[in-house]
Amino acid sequence: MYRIRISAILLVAGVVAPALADEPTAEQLKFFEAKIRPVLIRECYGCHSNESGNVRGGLRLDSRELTHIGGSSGPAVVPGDVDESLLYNAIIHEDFVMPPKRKLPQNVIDDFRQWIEMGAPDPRVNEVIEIRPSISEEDIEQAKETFWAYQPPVSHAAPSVNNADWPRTDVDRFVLAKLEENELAPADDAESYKVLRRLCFDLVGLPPTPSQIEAFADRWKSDPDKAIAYVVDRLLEMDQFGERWGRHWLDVVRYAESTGREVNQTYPHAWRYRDFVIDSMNEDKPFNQFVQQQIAGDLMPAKTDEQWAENLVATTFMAIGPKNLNEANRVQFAADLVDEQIDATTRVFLGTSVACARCHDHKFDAIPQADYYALAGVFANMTTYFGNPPSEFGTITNAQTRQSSSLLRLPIDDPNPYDKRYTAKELQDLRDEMAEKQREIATLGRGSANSSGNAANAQRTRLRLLNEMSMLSAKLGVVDEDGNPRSYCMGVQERKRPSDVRLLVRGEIDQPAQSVERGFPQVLCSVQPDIDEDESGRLELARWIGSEANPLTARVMVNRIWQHLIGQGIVSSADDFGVTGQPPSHPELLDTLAVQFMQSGWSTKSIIRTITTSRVYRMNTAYDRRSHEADPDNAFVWRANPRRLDAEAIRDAMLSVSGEIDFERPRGSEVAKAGFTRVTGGVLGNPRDIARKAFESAGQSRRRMQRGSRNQIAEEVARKITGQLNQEDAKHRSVYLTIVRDEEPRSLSVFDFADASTIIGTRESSNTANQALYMMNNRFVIQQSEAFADRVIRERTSPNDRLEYAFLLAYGRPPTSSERTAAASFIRDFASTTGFRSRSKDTINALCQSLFASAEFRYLD
Amino acid sequence: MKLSATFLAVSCALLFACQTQAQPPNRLGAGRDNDAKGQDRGGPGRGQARDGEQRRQRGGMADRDPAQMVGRLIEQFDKDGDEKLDSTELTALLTMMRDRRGGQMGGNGERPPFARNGDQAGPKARDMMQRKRRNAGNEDATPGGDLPKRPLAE
Repeated sequence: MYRIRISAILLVAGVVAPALADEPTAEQLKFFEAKIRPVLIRECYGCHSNESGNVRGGLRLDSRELTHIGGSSGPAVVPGDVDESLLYNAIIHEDFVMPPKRKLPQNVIDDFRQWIEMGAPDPRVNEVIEIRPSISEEDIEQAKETFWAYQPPVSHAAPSVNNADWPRTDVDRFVLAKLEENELAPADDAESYKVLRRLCFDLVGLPPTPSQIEAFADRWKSDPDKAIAYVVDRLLEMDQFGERWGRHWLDVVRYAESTGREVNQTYPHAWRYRDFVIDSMNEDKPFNQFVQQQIAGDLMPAKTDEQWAENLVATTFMAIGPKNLNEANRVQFAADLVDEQIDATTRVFLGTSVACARCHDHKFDAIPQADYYALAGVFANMTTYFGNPPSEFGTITNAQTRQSSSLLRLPIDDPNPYDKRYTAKELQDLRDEMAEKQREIATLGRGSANSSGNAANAQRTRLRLLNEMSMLSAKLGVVDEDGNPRSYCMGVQERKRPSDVRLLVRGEIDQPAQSVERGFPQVLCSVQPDIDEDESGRLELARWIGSEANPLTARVMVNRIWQHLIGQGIVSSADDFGVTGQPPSHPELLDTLAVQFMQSGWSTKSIIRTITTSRVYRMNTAYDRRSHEADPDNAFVWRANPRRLDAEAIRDAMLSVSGEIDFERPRGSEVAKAGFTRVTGGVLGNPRDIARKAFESAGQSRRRMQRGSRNQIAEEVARKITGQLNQEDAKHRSVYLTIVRDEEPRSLSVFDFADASTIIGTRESSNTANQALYMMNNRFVIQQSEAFADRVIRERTSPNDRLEYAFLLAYGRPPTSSERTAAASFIRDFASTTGFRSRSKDTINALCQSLFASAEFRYLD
Repeated sequence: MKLSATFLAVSCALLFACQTQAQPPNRLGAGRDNDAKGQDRGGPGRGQARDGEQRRQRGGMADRDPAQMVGRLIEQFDKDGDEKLDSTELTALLTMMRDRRGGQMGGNGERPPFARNGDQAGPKARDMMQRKRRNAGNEDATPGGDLPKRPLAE
C-alpha cells in the first residue's frame, strides 16, 4: 500500500493543478491584456458586445460579468474550469464553431486555455459599489406618517345630513354629506326598469327577462328598497355572478392564454386559472385567502389533494403575464420575468407601482431602488412554469423561442385532458419520427463557405426540422409511457436554497451593486417580516398583503368594487394609490367600506350588497346644469353615471335577447384544444390542419360539390382559418372566449376590451365609427338579429305585440308612442326594399338589428 | 498475473500525462510548447491535433487533488480488494476513460442533433444538451413535467 501511495504521488507530480487565484496578480492581468483582450476585441466583439449593437446568442463578451453569465447556452467562462467554459468549447470547435468558418491558431487557443485555468483574471469589471438611495429613511417615515394611503383604514360613523329622509344606508349619508357640503343635491331615483337593468348587468352581465321586469315592477311599487334587496340577493346567488365579476378580476391580472410579443406561444392550461377565479367569486371566497393563494398557493398547507390542486392553479397568476420568449439572454429574461411579477403583484393588490424603482429610486413614491430589489429577492427564488414539459428527447423549442419552461403536474388527474391519447404504435411512430429528424438534422452541413445557396437551403431545412421536432417533443412531453396524457397546470414553485439578489445599477444585468436582503417596501410595511434563510419570503409576502395589517389591500379592492357599480372609483386612479394617483373623493367612506370589507370576512358579495342597496346606486342619470358646472366629473356622485356596457355584456346581451345563449360552462378553451403551439397570423397551429378539419366538418367531398356550394364552403373554410380566434360561432358567455394576446376576438376588441398585456383596472369606454360599422355589418350581429327576430315571431303573433316584445327584450321597457310611430314608418319603408318572399322576416330582422345597434341597448341609463 | 504498483503507476502516468503534456505550462509568459514536442511522450491516441478529433481528457471529477484521484480510481476499480489493478480491472478503468473522452478510441461517432462542423457526439454533446436545457428554462426540468412539492400540513 505504501508503495502504491508513493507511486501515485510520483505519478501525478506532473499533473499541474490549475491555480485559482482569487485576485488577479499583475502578471495575470498583463497576460490578459497581451493575449486575451486583443483576441476578444478582434474576433468576438463584432457579434458579442454592446458597442457593436450585436448580441448574438444572447452572449456578450465585453465585460467580466457578462462573460461569466454567458448567453443562451450557458456561461462562456467558468474560472478555473476549462471543461465548463463554453468559450473554450467554441474555439476548439467541439460543440460550437467560433469564430464562424475558421479556427484560431493553436497558440491562441492555448492562451485561452491557460487563461481560464489560471482563474480567468479579467480587469473588465464594474466595481461592486453600493448605491445609496436619494430617498432617505426620514422621507420614508414621513410618507408613512402623512400620506393618506399608508395610514391604516379607520371606520367612521356616518355623518349627519340635512336631508334626513333621503338616505337609506350609511353609504348614502357619506355621499349626501359631501353633496351638501358642496351645495349640491342628489338626483331622483331612476325608473324601476332602469334600476333593474342596471342591477342585472352589473351583477350578472345580462339583461333582465320580461318576466323579471314585470315582477320587479310590482315589488318596486310596494317597496323599492325590498324590491332591490330581493333582486340583489337572487343575482348574487347565480353562477353568472362569478362569470361577470370574475371577468373584472381577469382584466386586472392581465389574463390571457398566450405569451404575446414577437413569439406568441400558447398557454394551454391558463383556462384553469380562469375557472378558479370564476368559482372563487361565486363561492365568495374570502378575498384575503384569494390573494394569498395567487401569490403563494404552492406554499400554503392543504388538507386535501383538491385544495392543493386549487392552490397550485391559483399561482398561475404569477406565470400568466406576457413574455419575450425570443430574449436570448437568460439572465435578462429572468430579470424581466421577476420585474413583471413584481409589477403585477404590487399594482393588482396594492395599487402601487413598485416596478418603477427597478432602475432608480421611485420618482414620486418613497420607494428606493433597494426596496425593489428586496422584493425581487422574494420573487427571484421561484421557478415559474408556463411552457411545456420536456420529452425524453429534452426541451426542443422552435427556432425563435430561446426561453422555455415546463409545467407542474396536477396532484389530481384531469378526467378529460385535452392532450391526445396515443396508442403504443402511435407513440413509437412519434419517437421514430423524432429520431429520424434528429438524424436528418445531424447530417445537415453548413454547406460550403463559397456556396451561399447551399448554406441557405441547409439553414432553412434546419429551421423546418427544428420546428417539427419542437412540435413532436411537445406532444411526447405531455404523455406517459403508455401514451396517456398527464394533467398539468401553470404556476410557480419555490427554488432550493434561496438567496438575496444584487441591486442592478440602472437595472442593467451587467452592473450589479450591493446585495440586498429580501424584504418588503419599507413605506408600505411598518414592520419588516422575519424571513428565514431557507425561505424566499413569498409566503410571508402573501400573508402580509392579505392581512388587515396592510393599509392598501382592502381599500384597493373596495375601490374596484365601487368603480364597477358606480362608474368611477372613489379613487379614480384604481391601479395607482400612490402620490401620482388621485386622492379619494370620499376618504371616510372608502375607509369605512374597507373596514367593513375586512370585518365581513373579506366578503366581496357583502360590499356589493351594501352598495347596490343604497340610494346612491339607484339615482337617475339626468343632467343638471348647475351640478355639472360645480362638479363636471361627478366626483361627488350627484347623479348616476351613464355607462356604456363593456364588450362582454354587449355580446352576452345579444345572445341572451336572441335566446341563443348557452349558459353551460364550456370546458377549457380553443387554446386548450390546440395545445402548446405558436400563434401566427391569428391562427393556432397549422392552418393546413385547420382547413382539413373545416372541410371534413363541411361533410362534403370536393367531387360531389356543386360550383355554388363549393364557393360557399371555401368561404366557410377561409373564415374558419382567418377567424379562428374570433369564435363567432360560439354561443357561450364571453368570459369563456379564448383570449390570445394580440388576437382578441373582434366582438370584444371593438368595444374596448382590456389589453391583456397589462394591468387594467379601468377600461376605456369609447364611441367610435368602428363600433357602429360592427353593429351594422358583422356576421355575428346579423345572426343574432335574425335569431332575435325568430324569437319575436315565434313567441308573439300580432305586429304590435311583436314590436312591444322586441323593445321589452332589448330595452327592458315597452316602446313609447313616438317609437311605435317611428317603427311603423321604418317597417313600411324597409319592406319596399326587400323581396316579396322574405319581406316580413327581413323587416323584422332589420328592426331587431337596429335595436341592437342603438345607444340605449349599449348603455346603462 | 497481477500487476505491480509500478505498472499501475506507469499506466496512470500514461493517462494523466496526456492531459499534462497537452497543456501548456501554467505560467505567465511561458513559451507555448508546440504539440509535437509536448506529445512525443504521449501514449495511444496522441499526436498532432487535428480538427474535429482533438479531445481534451475529461476526468469528470470535481476534485483535482491528484493523490485523491488515484486513490479513488483504485478504490473504484479494485474489485478483488488487493489494492492493485489486474488486467481485468485496468481494462475497466481504461474503458471508462475512453468513454469519458467521447468515443475517441472507437466510439459510435454519432453526431448530436445540433452539432456544428467538427463535432462528435457522446457525453460531451449530451452534457451540452443538458446544459442547454437547464439554461433555457428551469434548471431541474424533468421530462414529463415537474412534480410540485407539497407544503407541510399545519
